[in-house]
Amino acid sequence: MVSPQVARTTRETDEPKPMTYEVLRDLGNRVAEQYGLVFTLPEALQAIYTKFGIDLPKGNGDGTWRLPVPARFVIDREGIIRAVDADPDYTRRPEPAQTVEVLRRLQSR
Amino acid sequence: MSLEEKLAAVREMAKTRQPPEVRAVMQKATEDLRASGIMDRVVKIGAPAPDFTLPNVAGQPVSLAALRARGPVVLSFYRGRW
Repeated sequence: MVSPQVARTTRETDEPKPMTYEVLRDLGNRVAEQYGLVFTLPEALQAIYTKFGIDLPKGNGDGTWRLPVPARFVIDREGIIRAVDADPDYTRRPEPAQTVEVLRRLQSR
Repeated sequence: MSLEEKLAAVREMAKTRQPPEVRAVMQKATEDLRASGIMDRVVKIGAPAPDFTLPNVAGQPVSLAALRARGPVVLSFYRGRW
């Protein structure tokens, strides 16, 4: 799990869960950029979020309104990307069952 | 219930909570982003995953190379919690 957020807010996501995963901080969205995911929120939306009390430049810790497109990749042991799910509409996320299916196929190779 | 069913319920609830002018700006932002061609730049299936080392919440460096040495990796990028 990779997010540009500062450690304080990221830690809230890292509560005990019945599975193990790393929550990583991608300051300045540098890794997200390598994966081709970064964009800047348009000014009209910046104004709305500011009115909602959301200070993204502060939350990001890099002074920008840049975000990653939410995305899920499955990477095999050799480092090759085997599945990509990304959607500019952040309210749409890939079905976990599909990701599990990709992992099953990779495990049984 | 599938994740998509749950998200659909959240989207329906948001419709009643957000003023129409706010929803319009949000929808336009998503449409513009889709039209910007950003999806063509996302790394593709079959490509090598760019390696990285990032700090975890304990401040320890974690590399993709170390993670995939243990097995296939699910890499999820998200905006954070607001």
